[in-house]
Amino acid sequence: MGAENTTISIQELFMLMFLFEIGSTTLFALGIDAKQDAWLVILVALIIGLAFIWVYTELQRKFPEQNYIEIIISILGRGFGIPLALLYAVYWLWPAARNLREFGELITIVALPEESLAAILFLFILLSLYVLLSGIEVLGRTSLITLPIVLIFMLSIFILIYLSGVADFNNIRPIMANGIKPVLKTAYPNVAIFPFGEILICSMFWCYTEEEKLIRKTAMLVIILSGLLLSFTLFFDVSVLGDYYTSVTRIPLLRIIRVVDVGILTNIDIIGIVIIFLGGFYKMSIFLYGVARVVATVFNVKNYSRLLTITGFFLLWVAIVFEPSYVFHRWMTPFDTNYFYITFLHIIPLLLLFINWIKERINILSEG
Amino acid sequence: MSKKMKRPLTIEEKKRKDEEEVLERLEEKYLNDIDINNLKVYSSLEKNLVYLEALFSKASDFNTRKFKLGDEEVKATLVYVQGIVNKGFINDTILRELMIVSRNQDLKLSRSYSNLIDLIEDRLLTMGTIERRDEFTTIIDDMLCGHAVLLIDGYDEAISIPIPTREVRNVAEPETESVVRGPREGFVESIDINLSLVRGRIKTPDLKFESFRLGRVSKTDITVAYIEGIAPQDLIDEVLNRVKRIDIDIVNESGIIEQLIEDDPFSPFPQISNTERPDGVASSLNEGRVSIFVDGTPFVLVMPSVFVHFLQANEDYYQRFFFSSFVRMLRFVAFLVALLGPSVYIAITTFHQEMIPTKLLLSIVASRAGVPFPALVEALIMEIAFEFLREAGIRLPKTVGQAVSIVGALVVGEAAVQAGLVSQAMVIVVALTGIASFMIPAYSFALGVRLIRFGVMFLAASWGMFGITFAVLALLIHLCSLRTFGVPYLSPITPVDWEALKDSFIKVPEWFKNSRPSYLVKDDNQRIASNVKPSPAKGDDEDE
Repeated sequence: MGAENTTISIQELFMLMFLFEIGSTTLFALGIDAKQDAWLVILVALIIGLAFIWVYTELQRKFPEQNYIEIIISILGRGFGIPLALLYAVYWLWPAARNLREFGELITIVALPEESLAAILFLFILLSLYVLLSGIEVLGRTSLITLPIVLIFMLSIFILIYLSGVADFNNIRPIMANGIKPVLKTAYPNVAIFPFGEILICSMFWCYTEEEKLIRKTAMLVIILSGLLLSFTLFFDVSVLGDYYTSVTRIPLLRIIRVVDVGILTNIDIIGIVIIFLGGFYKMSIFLYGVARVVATVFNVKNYSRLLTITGFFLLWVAIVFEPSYVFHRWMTPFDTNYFYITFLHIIPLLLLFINWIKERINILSEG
Repeated sequence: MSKKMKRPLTIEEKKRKDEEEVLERLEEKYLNDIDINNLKVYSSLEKNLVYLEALFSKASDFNTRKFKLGDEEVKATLVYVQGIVNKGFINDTILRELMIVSRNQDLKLSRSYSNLIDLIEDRLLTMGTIERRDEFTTIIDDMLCGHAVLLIDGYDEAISIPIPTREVRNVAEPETESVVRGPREGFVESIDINLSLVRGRIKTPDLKFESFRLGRVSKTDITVAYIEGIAPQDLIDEVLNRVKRIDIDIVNESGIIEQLIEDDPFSPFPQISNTERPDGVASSLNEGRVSIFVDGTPFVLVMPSVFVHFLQANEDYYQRFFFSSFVRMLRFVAFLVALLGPSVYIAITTFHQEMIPTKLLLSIVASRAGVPFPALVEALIMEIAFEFLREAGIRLPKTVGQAVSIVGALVVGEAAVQAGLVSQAMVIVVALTGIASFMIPAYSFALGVRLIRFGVMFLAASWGMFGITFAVLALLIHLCSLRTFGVPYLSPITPVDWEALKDSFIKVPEWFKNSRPSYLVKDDNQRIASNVKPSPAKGDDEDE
């Protein structure tokens, strides 16, 4: 259970991060503010995401044996580091709770309208605790099976939609009708942060892999592949639904699944539900793991399993109490991204790298 | 006081009490020279016999045969337990040699032998193995395992001659794992025969059999078999450690050992497989696995066994690869059907009716129209009835068993549908599920699947597909965290091992399976020489 003897293979790391990236992103019409150019927005954001991957992995390279929180404390010292680490815990708790709540609500909306939300959230947390108590490497190993399933499902959705003949690629045109400005504006900070910036939480377990040199390559590959997949999804969303419907519909992916009509394959919603479930499960579990690990690192907690359990149920409580509805989420998103997320995901890591660089300079100067 | 008296004696205490009793009786006869702590063989034959007879009192199969040895008429006695020793050997070989041949031999001339026991060992007993014993504990153990023990007056040593015998079944085709193509021999209850069957298939001195006895009362012979150099040393040590740690009164079947050495006793999935087939054991040993033979049962344990092993049958390797791969994938589908069949039906009919194509939906609705129960209850009734039939069929004599299945399947099934208790669709689903669970070659694995099915059914009835996904993910997590003797249970799927995946859901042609599975074997991986891929003959007889 302890983190000391955990090892994650680079394959597992890849799968985990990929699932994390797919996570909830398949649900939303990301970058739809740029209308039919949403798919382009993703590609632009992808490049920004890659740049920040360089920042995150550079930090990891400087301190290969430490997780992100330990790196913060190493750079800033305990006095500044610990408060910041706790802020991170609070910040990460927020997307974790949102994620949990979102998926619970989506499940109730699309599949089980008469079931109690709390019960579903409880099952979700239970499952997540089960896997995290078995260790993050177990989560990694399960992802080796679930990622291919998710990918196969997504690809088959695209193929089936194409075969159904409902995709109208004219919906994509004209490309960049209003120039490049709206594309850039949506790409940063919104899409560059969600989903690409959020991968920072994975640096809580990057230190467990034995092939440190491959972390950067793997993370970049994940960003590129998931970005392409996402861009492809939006391309299909918009070409099937048009930009207006894509922006107003609740879950574009499910909406386009509903139009599939090939032979006896007519109502394959269930595939969508499985994708939502798996993506949400992995994303939420990784966030929960991150939060628990931050607390464990800061307070040097011995009984990690108890801490994890408490954090899990606290998360459940937060998700039920502090999140009034799914609509609230969607309304809240730009606010979150523009103020909170950008600080924690882009500004602080950059500052950390800068401070560390200065410290290194000073050391060199004082030695030389 | 009374509390203390009522406590049953522990085995140690009882043993000591018995010993004291015997020594008391000895004391009555030989008041003078008794040493309480001395459990060594006395040089007085009479004393030894008194001791043994006292120990084996009321054991009617204990036998003593008194006779005179050689010309000098030395008193000697052969003691043994009737029934477990070979009577023919005793009558025709041992006693003949000791009573008749020993006279012809000029014992007086053999001056080089001051010790009669040496003489007997070197010149008289024409047996493959004999052992010299001087402690009563070993003598008694020997006798109980089918040795005849020769005691000679004047010597404080005994000769123990192993001539065990028992009634054994003929080697026959195993009933639990029959094949269309493949060897027709199966293990029997005798461990010696079982070991010889495996030795006959692996003719290398690297094949090791480490034997010991287990069980305070049963003293069962256990043999741990492995191929040195192929099986990893830490695996062998771990198996031996776990087996030797066992302290139990009786070991009747290998299943008892299995339950005492498995990694996770609370997992519904078995982590050690069992087989009745020598070819199965041989190929497992060659894959670097370890097997445990237990005397008295034809079921041999093989470990570590991972998920894919339970969906494989020996015959897969004997048939050509197209069909084997097809069957293996079919089995995997069967595993999913057996696990999820009724649950998916419940989930779809209760929550996700829109998923069913309209025409099919209409016919399902029509068949369910008169059924008073919700789908879960309907499914539970049928599933439990099916489990009844299955268990009833196993325990009953074969002839009656068939009658039960006819009554159950045809009469009850048909009548239940006609009476409107269950729908036809449900009968089909349950029957399919049942057949699918028979597709799983490993019975112990199928048992786990049968049990989990019920849990998934409840989840499906409560939360539909969400419940099923929950159950599947939970199972997946469990399988991923499960290890058997250090090997992850889902190897080679995750952690992925491409080479070994060639022999998992599919079976590649023999010439393409280059190495032994690397999640089991660390060194010596080479399985087949390169370039053995068959191809039509080139050159000579071609008309080029």
